[in-house]
Amino acid sequence: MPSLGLTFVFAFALSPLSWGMDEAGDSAQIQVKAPLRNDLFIRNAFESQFKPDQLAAFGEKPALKALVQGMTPEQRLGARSGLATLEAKATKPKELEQIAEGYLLLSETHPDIAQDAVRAAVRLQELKPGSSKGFVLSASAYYQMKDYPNAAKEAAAALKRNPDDEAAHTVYMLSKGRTSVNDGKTGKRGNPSGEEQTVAASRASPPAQPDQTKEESGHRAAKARATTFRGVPSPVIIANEAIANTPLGPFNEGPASPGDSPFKTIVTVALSSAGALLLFGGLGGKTLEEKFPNIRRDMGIAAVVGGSIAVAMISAPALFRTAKAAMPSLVTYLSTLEHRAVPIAQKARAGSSSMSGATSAGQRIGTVTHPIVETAVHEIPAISGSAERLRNILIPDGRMIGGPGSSSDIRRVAGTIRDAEAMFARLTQGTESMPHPGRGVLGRFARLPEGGTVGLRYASKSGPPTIDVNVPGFEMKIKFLSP
Amino acid sequence: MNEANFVKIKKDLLRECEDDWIALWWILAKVRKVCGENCSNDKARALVMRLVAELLSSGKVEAGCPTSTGGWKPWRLSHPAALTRIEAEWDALGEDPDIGKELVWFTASPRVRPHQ
Repeated sequence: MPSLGLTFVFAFALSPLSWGMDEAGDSAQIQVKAPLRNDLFIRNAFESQFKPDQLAAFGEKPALKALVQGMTPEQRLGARSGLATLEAKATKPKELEQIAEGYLLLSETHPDIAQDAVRAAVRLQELKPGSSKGFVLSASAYYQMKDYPNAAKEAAAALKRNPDDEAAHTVYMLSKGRTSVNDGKTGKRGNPSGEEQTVAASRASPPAQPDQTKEESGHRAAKARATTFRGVPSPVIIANEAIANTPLGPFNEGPASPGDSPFKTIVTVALSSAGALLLFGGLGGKTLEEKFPNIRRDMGIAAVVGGSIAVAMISAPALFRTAKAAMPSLVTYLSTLEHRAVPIAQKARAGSSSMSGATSAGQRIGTVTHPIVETAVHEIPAISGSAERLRNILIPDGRMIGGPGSSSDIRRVAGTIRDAEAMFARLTQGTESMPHPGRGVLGRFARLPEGGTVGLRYASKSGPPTIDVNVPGFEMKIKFLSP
Repeated sequence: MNEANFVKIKKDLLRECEDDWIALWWILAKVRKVCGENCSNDKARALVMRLVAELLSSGKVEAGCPTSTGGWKPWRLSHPAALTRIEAEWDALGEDPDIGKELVWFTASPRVRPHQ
């Protein structure tokens, strides 16, 4: 049963991502409407922020959302304090539910307040562990905080308790496959179960199997993502993942505390001990100069060599970091070479109508050859002049973007829902978009003035956001897989 | 469109239905792409309906539509009834299906999904 009397407001500072609701600037809201519910317990915390005449301007019993929208930042913080006071006294699930919802409303413009919502939601979960309400609220709060892995996990927990919870499903669908802003780091995040959770890039499990939500990070995550591209992975993506996940051994980045590199410590201690043993064993009761006549000269040499080694050890991490930073540029350059190979491969193909010609052309200039070169030559469709702008975006340099999906017209590119929205905005530039009119479809839609339609679905069967293009002359789907 | 092209489109659609919901406009676009300019609207529609009929009767694909919560709602109709409904809705639409005017979507039937 949808339990949330208030309107859930998930505000997140992305490009427009909304359906059937107002947009304001760069931010947008997703609203999951539910039947009205008594908000008496928290109402005063909001209304008390206004003078009577100000409050009267809102009309009789205004919605809390309207009050929040009419608040100054100071008033919102005042309402937060009011909620905190109520939270301290709250003992009933209904009270905590209202408080969490109140925090969520306020977190629209103050995302840090979402942490308060998590706290209240966790208490609600403890009071009613079998109910989905507490988990939906915590999922919404994590979503607000852009902690998408935890949002998906909490939403999955809510769906496990109530598979029909629409709010949970919405948060789940919008969170799964998205990367946390804290990507790659691990830490405890107010998890109601108290388990340590990873917020590394990961894809949440489907709602039907919430128990299968697993931690995924490092090489395991990179492997999973790379294999998603079905045999034609982008070299840039794979290289970047490899770079991002390759530890630098003793020179790995990170805090330079002594305990950070046991390997380095062990080697240093072992070498020092061995040196001391050799020194004392070798002297045999003689003075240093008696034993080693050339010790002054040798010590000078040792000082120079040792100093050089010390300088190298100090500067090595920086060198590694520089090399690591330069690698993507190198890979991008190699990819550019690959781009250059395509038109030449096309010419060769036009002349010989054989793939071998294309491939050899690519090899001649390429030094970089990749299956995607061959694929691209096959997949350039004939398109109409009215679709020129879209062609330039989707088929730059005569090569369709991304790698092929389940067919050549379905492309898979690395990206999040934000990238999908950016692409949609480019494709529909100068055209007013609207909520997707398709039955049961959540997303955006635009009819192009020169003919054709473009749709963005926030979710597809397999999960990732998908752009549909139906322009006279060619049709495409572009699926955005979380990198 | 020759039979080989027809079979190829059908195979492509079967594969695509495993990965995504496939709308009617997508099938129409594929048919038009192969038919070219020589394909009249009526002929294209007939080919689309034949494809849909064969896909449904194969038992590997089911008709329905996505839900606003990201799920899938199958039509609880027999294949002939589903075809009749599609024809009727297409007529009522008065134009070709398109993005936003999907009429119907298709996806791989759960019974034959590879992992099951």
